[in-house]
Amino acid sequence: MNQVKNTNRLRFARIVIFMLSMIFLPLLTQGQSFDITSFQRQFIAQFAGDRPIEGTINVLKQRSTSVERKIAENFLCSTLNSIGLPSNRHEYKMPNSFFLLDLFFSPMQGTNVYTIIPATEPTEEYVVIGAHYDSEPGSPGAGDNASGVALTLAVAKQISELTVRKKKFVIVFFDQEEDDELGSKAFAKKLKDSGMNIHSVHITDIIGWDANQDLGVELQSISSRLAPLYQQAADDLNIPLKLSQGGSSDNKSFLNAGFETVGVFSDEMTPHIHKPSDQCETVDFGYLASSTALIFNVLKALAQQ
Amino acid sequence: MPRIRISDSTFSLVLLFSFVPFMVKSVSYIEAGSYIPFLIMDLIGLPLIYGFYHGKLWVIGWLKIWAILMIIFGILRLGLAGLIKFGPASVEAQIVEQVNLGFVFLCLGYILAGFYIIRNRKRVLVIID
Ligand SMILES: [Zn+2]
Repeated sequence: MNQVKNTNRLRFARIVIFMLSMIFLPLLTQGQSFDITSFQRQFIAQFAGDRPIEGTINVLKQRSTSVERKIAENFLCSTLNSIGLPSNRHEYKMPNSFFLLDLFFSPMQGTNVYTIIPATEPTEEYVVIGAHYDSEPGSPGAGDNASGVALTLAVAKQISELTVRKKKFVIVFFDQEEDDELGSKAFAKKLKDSGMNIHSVHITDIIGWDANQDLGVELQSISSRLAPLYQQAADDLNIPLKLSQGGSSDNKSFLNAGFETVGVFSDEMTPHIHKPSDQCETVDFGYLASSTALIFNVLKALAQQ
Repeated sequence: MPRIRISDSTFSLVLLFSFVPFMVKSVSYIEAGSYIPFLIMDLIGLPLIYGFYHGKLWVIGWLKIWAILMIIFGILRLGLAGLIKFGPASVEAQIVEQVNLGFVFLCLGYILAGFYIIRNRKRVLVIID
């Protein structure tokens, strides 16, 4: 008789513990917020060959050959998944930059990686955020452009956690920027052909260098509609903005395709660009975090419009 | 109207070999959005098909042009490969990757096939009615 009572008490105690843990565990984990800098530091260390990609023996000393770009592409997909986002591949073929080369060689081919964060309300309007993931041969490309990729990933994670998104967000990582911006050209064409309603395109490149420690950011070819949003976010974060014209990265592909596009770069050029010295240790993670906050604040404002 | 046939299976095989890589390339370029290699293939391929229905001399002449083009193509491609591998030419990484042993063998194959076609083209063509 006593044994039956004891078993019942034990069962009751288990149920109570289970119910309490269901209530308190989420509260505990909610406190562990996403640490942007440690995420970006870990990501760039692996993406720019500081150490092997977790769970593999692959060290990405550059992201230039087909094999290296494939490894980078797979790592990007798994990183997207690790922050709770699905990953899609956009495979493309493009003619060579000089058409006579077409007669002698195969077409260029590559893969863009992207994900779409749905809106929380019915809409068909999209905002695109992108950065290229390849690097120049011989350069680990920590600044150019693991920094832009790490920024975009962190922004994607934060956007996906917003409770209100009145727009859909396309997060995209371009292949072959260093080869005549082929990846972004192909993706801009894909967007155009699909007839999607694109609000604006935000491209980041080389955003890990801040020698004068002023947190300054360069905005290239910004439209009059986006300028006040960036100005407001920059004022809130004490970030000086430098405006310029033209398109010096993947933003050119989208400008040429007729999209409202802004290029976001460090306002100082890193001396390590395209060199073997463009390594993880040269990235200013405080600056990267500040620039990440700038873009996130702009996109958050767009999400609420 | 006379119709022309190739009486030698080795010759047919070599001719086929000379065409297939170009066919593959032109289809792959259509996927990439460029029609130029396909148009060039048409400019070369259509006269041959026409020739097989219109006379031996036409086919002999055309085969010679095709063979010379292949030899030039093979030599130019080898030269480009040398420039890319050892010279100052700066091209996309993906092009550099294409220059390997297979690439060199294919170039040599084009050159040899060109000479083979020039030597044997008259012997192998038969007229059937
Ligand atoms: Zn770049």
